[in-house]
Amino acid sequence: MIQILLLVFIGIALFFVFLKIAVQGPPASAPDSSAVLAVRQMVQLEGLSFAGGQRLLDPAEFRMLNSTAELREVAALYRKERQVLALLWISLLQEDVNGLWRFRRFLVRNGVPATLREEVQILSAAIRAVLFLTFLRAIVRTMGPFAFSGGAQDARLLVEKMSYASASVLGRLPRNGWPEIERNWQKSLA
Amino acid sequence: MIIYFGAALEALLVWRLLKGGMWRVYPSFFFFVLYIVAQNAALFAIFRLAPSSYATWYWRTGIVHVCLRFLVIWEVFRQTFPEPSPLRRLVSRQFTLATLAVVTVLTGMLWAVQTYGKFHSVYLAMERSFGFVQAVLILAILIVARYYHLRIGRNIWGIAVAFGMYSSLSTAVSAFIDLMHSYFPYWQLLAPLSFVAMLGMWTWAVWVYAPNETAAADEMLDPANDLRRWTEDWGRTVSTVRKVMHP
Repeated sequence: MIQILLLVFIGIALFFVFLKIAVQGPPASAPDSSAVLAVRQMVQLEGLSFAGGQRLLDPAEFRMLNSTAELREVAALYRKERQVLALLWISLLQEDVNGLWRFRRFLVRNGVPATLREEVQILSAAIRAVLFLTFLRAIVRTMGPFAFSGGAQDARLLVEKMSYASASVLGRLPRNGWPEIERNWQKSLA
Repeated sequence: MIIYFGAALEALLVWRLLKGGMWRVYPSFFFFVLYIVAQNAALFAIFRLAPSSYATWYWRTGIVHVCLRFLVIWEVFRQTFPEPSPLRRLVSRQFTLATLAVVTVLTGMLWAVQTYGKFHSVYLAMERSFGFVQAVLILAILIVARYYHLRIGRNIWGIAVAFGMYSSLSTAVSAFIDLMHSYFPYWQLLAPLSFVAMLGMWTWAVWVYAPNETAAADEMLDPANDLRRWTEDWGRTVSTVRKVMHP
């Protein structure tokens, strides 16, 4: 009796798990890696190119220093430095998001084919990234750099996702047209 | 209405798999689809010609159907972790062991459940036990693929998710029916409806040829290998001819 009842509940739970996967849709195919690199060069994604973001918010070293009474002062100094660096990195990521958003609009304005659905998706991704980065900035500012260590990877992933969206649009153009796009983009920035 | 819609979807599915030779890429899945078509055609004929034996054949072919559903899992597994992939070696042993363990436990449960005495349907008992195993296995494949960042193409993604939804729903519903026999008429409606929904999703999934990225990469590599082999063979032939002409 209990076994069958358990199967009813497990079956329903599994169904909802699959339903969630179905609603998320099939995984989008990764854009061409050369297009991703080209976007990173064109938009100069400084925040994304910094690989040590996760380490910046990692509290392991701070805890190690803080556990020794003689090193508490050093630990406090270390924490303050990390806070400044983390805030700097987050602001670079915010600039990356703005840059990618502008670049995407620039591409579409210049006639690169894109669907309305894609535009809505990129807009929602940009809003999510901006909101998350603002939240992360507030957390780091008020509670210190180590309060939300898992946030570094999420922040990076959000910006990376936006760069993929721009790369997928750029990838629709022939490669020999990319230098011209880059020149026009630099001109539009000036 | 559901029967005709299902038959139309089955025909579309078979046509799409035959067109462009997609059935060669997904042979186990294609075999299962063919079984579904044959099962439904046979049951339809029995219903018309010998309606008294319809119920017996419905349950018998249903049991085979439940067992053959493992072919779909195998297809998803072999497409997600193809033969040359190092992940295949990593997960295949654990996968086989887990499958054997879960199947053994649930087969035991199948015969041991107290309520089985009240409701004598081996099919429903198999449906809920095997459906649970199948849903868990397909979910495990999807989770491992996600963990290793393997990109699953639309074909396999659609097949796996639709199959998972159907298996989990059939587990819940057939277990519920065993508990509350009075809901049996709803099961008679819900079971074919969920099956037709799965067929619809499968048709959508295979409508465009979108294999997993690893499989696509293998296909892309194949012509290069063939060309390299051909060039080597041709070079050997030319040098042999030269040796023969100028010994």
